Amino acid sequence: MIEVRDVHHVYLRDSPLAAVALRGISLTIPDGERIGLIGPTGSGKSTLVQTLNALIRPTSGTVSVDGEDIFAPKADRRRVRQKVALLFQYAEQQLFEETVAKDVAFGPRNLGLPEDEIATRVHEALQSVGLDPDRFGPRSPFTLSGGEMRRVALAGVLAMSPKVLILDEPTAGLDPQGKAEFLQLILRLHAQRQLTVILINHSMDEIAQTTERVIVLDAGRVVMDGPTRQIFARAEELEHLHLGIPQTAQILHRLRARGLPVRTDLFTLEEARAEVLRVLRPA
Amino acid sequence: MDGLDTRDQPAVWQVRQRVGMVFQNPDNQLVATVVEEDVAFGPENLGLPPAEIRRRVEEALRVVEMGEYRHHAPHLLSGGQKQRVAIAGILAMRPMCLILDEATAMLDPQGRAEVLQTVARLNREEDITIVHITHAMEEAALARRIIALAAGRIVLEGPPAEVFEQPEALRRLRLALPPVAALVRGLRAAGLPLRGHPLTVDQLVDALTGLAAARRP
Repeated sequence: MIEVRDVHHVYLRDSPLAAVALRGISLTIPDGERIGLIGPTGSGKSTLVQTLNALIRPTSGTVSVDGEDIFAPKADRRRVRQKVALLFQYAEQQLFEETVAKDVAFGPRNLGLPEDEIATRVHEALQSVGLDPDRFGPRSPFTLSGGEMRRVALAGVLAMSPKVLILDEPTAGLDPQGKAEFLQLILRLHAQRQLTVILINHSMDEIAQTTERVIVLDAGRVVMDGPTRQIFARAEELEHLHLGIPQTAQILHRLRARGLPVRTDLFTLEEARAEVLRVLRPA
Repeated sequence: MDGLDTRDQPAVWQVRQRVGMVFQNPDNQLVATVVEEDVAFGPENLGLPPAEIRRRVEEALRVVEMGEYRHHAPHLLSGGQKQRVAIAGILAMRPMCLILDEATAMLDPQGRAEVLQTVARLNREEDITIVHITHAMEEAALARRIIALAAGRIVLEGPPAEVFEQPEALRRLRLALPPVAALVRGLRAAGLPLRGHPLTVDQLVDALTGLAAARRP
């Protein structure tokens, strides 16, 4: 479980360029939840997730992971980063080793694990992301497609055996099927490894398909937090924040505004289809 | 291109003046420390007189609605604003064609909307040809013509309404129907007599409310 208590963060504090990024964030994130973190550009999403694995020390407030204050003087921040893994945007740009296997092994090796344990973790991590370890392991990462490279980057994170997986725009730049496959992969990993998943994403359709809880940030504050279905029913507030809602939900909201008695707390394609048919069933 | 052969090396600068490109990452294409200097970069390289450069810069920033930011630092703008400045830099070259290479991929919904509205207006009011390379099928749906490439060949081509009638072909290309087209397909399959080819949220809402009104006694 992660607990965030009254976290504030100011970049370049005490300088003329000081920029306030977080203004008093408090959150509880239980194990195994699938969370969508959304908000306009500059709302503090990336800063917040970097405080969760101790990459950024907040100006004030506390973050604890499994009951341990991760910024306490004696806290083991390496272990925190192993537990709470962060996959950055365009993570394939950070691949650097000669082979896929070596790249995935980089994290576990830094943990000081024995070689046979490292080999096991690399094998399992590549299998988890759907890449055959024997086929892909010896290849140079730079001969792979963009989607494959991103899977290698994810395997590198999984090889650390994290409990919490934070993904910053993991599908950006992938083709539509690549996006769908990557989201399916994340759902599968969530189920298989009992991971907590925190997904930052600008696509409301993808957030709707993947998460059970949505946290909305604006100007460094949590402005909405609740079950995904309830959050996307609050279309006006989201549009006011320039966030929008999934296109299928937009259709239901506009139909209702035009006097058709449709529900507006639905957003998957199948739900929207059934709801439109319920109201407009062919005579 | 406009009668020019793009293989003809001496013509390459004339070609590039006529066809401008905006790339994916807004941080990789702005060169100056002040917005108006960035927009002036192209016309300055054309060797135009200063008064003409000023006129073009002002007009280009007005068209992308970034005039009030002319003295700002580009790196402090939002992603959508940066892309609009990049577009202004191209407009200052008086191009015939604007190519957006996934120029909306890294933007938030607000930034996307800004860029899409800007290019729609350039197409409508300035008569500039737009080639929008995108993975976002709901953005492709806004075009008059879609061209799908695979392995270096054109494999599908036509107006969105026709292209989206071929979901199987799209799936083979690792593409998908945009949400509105997928919903229309599902509704038709269930027997709802939807007319025309709704491609946007507004068009589908109009079609469905029309259907409801026709039902009322």
